[in-house]
Amino acid sequence: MRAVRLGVLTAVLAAGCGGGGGVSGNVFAPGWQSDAGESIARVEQKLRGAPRPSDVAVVVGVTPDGLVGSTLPSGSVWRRAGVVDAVPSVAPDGVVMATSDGHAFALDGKNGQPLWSVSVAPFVLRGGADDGHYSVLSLGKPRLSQSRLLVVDRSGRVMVDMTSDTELGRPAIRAGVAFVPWGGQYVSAIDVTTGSEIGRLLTRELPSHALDIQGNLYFGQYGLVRLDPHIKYAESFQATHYTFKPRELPGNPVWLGNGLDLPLVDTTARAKIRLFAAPTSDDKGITIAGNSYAGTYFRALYGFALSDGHLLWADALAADAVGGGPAASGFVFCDETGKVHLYANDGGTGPVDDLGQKLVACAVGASSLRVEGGASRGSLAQQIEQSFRRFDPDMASAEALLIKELGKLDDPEVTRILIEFAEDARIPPAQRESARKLLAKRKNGSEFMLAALEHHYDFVTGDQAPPVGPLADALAGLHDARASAPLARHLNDPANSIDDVVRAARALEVLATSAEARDLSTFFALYRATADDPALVDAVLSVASALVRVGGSEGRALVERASADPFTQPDVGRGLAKLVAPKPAAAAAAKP
Amino acid sequence: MTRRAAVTVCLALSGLFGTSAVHAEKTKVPAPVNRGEVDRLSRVLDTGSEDEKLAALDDLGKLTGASAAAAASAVGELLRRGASVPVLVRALDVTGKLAQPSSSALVAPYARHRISDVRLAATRALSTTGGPDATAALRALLHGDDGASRGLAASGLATLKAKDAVSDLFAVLAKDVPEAAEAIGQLCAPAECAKFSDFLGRLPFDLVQSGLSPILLRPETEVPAELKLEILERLRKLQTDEARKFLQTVRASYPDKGNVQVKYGLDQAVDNKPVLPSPTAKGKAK
Repeated sequence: MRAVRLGVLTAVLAAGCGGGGGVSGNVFAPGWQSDAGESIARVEQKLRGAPRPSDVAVVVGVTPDGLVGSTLPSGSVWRRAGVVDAVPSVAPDGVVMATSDGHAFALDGKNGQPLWSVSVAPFVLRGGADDGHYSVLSLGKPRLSQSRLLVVDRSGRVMVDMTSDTELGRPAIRAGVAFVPWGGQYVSAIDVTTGSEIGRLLTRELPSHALDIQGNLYFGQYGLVRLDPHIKYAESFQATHYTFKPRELPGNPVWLGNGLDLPLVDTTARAKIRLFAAPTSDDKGITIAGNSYAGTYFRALYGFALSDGHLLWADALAADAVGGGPAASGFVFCDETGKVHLYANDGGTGPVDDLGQKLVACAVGASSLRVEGGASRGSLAQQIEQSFRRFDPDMASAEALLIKELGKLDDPEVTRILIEFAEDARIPPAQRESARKLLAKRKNGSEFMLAALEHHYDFVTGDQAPPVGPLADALAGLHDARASAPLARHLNDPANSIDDVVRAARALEVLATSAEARDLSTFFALYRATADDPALVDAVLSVASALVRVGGSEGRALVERASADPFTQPDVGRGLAKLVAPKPAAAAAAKP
Repeated sequence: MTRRAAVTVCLALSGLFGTSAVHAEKTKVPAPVNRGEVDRLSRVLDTGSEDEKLAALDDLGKLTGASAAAAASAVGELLRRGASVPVLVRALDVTGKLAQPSSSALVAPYARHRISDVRLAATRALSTTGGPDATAALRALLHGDDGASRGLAASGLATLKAKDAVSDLFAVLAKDVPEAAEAIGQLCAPAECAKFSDFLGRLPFDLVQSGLSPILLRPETEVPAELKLEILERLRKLQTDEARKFLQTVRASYPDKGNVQVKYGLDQAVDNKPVLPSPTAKGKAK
């Protein structure tokens, strides 16, 4: 076999030297005339049923001084010394490709055995793929648009070596045909034995990735088209197509990202904020495997339903996530301590593998792995509660998302958890406020609410005041009269915020019974002349209203007398006057 | 430091050996109740202007003996109804002067008022009105969120000789309530006093000495001489300037007619000589 060395501008490739007729003498030449999908259709037909090596699930961790890897879900850990300059690629057959010290190399991901190594300086890996015989690598230069395409066989012979001033995307390869996205609209199919372009796909899907997943080839970035008999019609938007629209997540992670970018090892926060989903195909077309996708936000992990983006599961790792990937079913995440975590689509946990070294990044090829029937971690509400215990103060965005999701659950346990969150000084104020808002709307879990109201601020024990206001709102909404006594006691506790007191007073307008008359009278006496805040004025008037309703003649007399007292706070006085004034109907009936 | 130690000791002495004005008044022959005057002042409290109410409260505060109870009742009615902040503060001050335990239940809610002036006036008043309601309210205040109230409450519990509150005082001692130390020193039972002395070296010396002063100066019927000698020896062994000065101040304040062993122990400690005989020496003496 002849090695093919080509420069884009100088390469001369004989059209038709590949199978099924060539496309262009100049691969990656922009001046190409559309062939209405004919050439890519021929390639699809040629490859239909083409042999494909067995899938092997592999995880590769990038350490500060090399690589460490293992098969999944468990396997012997292998290591390779030498700093890599980009996150490696893991092909479906488990071949690992990377660049280090001016060389591109491939390893067998099952055991770390080297397969080949070639000099590529000064290029670094953008993406690679392998079909069991040939490896195809897209290489680039940092901050420069120049790219290089390399095809290497198992013996280390370079079959194709092309440079391009156009940035190339991340390739795939099937049965000796490499698929290389480029130019924002093309995917060139290149016969690796000759270096000739045997087909070209024109698609408006902004293809920067070619993906080989479970035997299907997809091209795209935001949306995907599949290599199937409909590919011929991609130009007229009639290819088998799918657009993945995940919900907005903290840190705004993107799905595949721009495949033209070099995956340089990134130690910033961005590398810890990721989104994972695997395309899969069925009779109806393309969808997302397991109907779910997952995200990371530092040490937070969460899974979402494809249908409407609702939260399916949540967890928090002991250390930040530095990478991961979707499996055929479930997800794989690596943390910076070197642990590899497997999750089923429902959030059940599989075995945890330990690569034994600290990681700065990791790559996962697990399109054949099925993580199913993992260990249950309780209800979603409990998962969120447990996650919060591991969060750092700087994880407010993830906390905000989880609290919002928590509020959507009907589980009465949610009420207990929201109460805890609202009281927890370790949770940022904005998230505590969110918990309070959701708590105020709860329609169940009243036993938890009543129990919380029995507590007061305590300097000695360190207990914080419960979220009296939200509890008052919720219990008033539930018309739960059992709340009246504890709410009345909270009226006269100065450790409660004014807002809490106002809401407790408002709830007592409807909930109070005669048993609370004493607490109501005390509050009224303390503040009817001293209310120095509009909110406190409102509270006094609510309490007065409750007193008139449940305080009997004594309560009414107290209010009437205060109404007539010039030293009653003026706004309170005006409110009391309205309260004790005869009602129009009653006044009319009283007339002779 | 010497000056501070002296002040601490003097305060301790005033609490232990002094007789409060309130108590002195209680020993006087009760004067008959001036019902007419109390009724007149009550009406002013009900319908007068703010200035008139303040003046009436001052007048009620001057009543003593049996009239004090009636006056307290009149002020209590005002508290029951509520009033402006200046009137409330004056009413609470007057209630404190009148020192009627029956007032405590009405004063207690004001110790948890949202306005600081009112809250502190009420807390001070509880320290003199006394009775179970006052003690309960002051103990509750130790658990509250206002630091000033906690300090006043600790001192108030000492004033009221609320020995049951010592456990609460211990709970706040290390939580930035320095008044608790002196209160414990005035109230502690021997075992509690020994427990308090264990804080030597664990809490700031300033804080601990304010509790040790009353312990060392209380009668030996309340704090046994043996315990005092142990404390003196521990103080001596600290070998610090502040401990030495403190010992000198206590020695100067210790009553001449006090316990001979304690006096001897103080002399020894001040001279930096062992206060307690060593076990060997004790054996030989036998």
